[in-house]
Amino acid sequence: MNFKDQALVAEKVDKFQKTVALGLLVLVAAYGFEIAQFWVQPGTEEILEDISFWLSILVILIILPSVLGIGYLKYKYKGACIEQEGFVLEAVKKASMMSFSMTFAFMVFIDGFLVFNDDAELAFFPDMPVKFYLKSIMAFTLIVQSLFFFWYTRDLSEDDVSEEDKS
Amino acid sequence: MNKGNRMSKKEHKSRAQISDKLTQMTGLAVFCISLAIAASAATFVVSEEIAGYLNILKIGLSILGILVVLPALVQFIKLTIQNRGKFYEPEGYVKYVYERAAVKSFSFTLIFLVVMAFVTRRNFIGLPTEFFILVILSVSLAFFSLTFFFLSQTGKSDEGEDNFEGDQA
Repeated sequence: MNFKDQALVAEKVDKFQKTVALGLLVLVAAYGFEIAQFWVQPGTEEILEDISFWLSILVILIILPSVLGIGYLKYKYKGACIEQEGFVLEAVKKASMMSFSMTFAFMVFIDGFLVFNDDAELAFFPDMPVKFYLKSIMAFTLIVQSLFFFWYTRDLSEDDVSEEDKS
Repeated sequence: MNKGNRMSKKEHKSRAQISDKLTQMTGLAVFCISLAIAASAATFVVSEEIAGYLNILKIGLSILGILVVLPALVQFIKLTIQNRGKFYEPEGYVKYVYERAAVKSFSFTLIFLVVMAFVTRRNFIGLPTEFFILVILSVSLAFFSLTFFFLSQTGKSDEGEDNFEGDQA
């Protein structure tokens, strides 16, 4: 693999990570519509379910070309080491770490919040099924991960610009 | 000058050892907390009498978690205060292990959440939401602490091998 090919592969891997983050953000929207189903009138439930379904399809359409692209590169440069270390991967790791810590805090918060459900007067969402809470946690995990990812990569691109300006 | 160098090396080693100990103790303490949460979750599925014992066990495990990490933490804070202003690297290793464990735990928790969402989709088990939240908390914390513990062990064994090679040479 020559230098030009290596640069191409690194660029593709970085683009893949960004596309996955975008896909996750759309998935959060799909979960959001699923969560909203618990609050709306019976008639509108189906519409929200349809939106959620089409958003899930959109997630696949967003991520699939990148996955296939990476798969093709791995096949093309079989045996060669496709470099996975990079700024973008570092951002993915940092965002995942933040997401894990914050999800943990969020679950502790929800657990504390559920104590009020024992009292009918104090309960916020007394009749919500387990699915509602689990989907909320999943949406929270993914939104924190993707937003932190975009935040970290935005910082990186700003740094690049400022360095270019200086030079 | 040589003596000075030796002194700083010795001091550095003791800091690194305390940092290493703190890493492992934190992993162990988190594991104790995850067991305490598991005991809390189990109170939903057992009889009232056993639930009483489990509550005592929960408090015991929480105190044990604090006791496990406290000595190393106090030593670590003491050393950090003593060496204020100096360049202090060993905590970088703790952070590195924490980061790696957290990244692995993030993926695991997400997969576990998807599995739990599938398991509870009809809520046929009939248990309250709190039970499932506690199960997820407990399992993801246990995964995190075990990953944390094994990653710090791996680092230690690498160090040991290096020393061994050094001795041979």
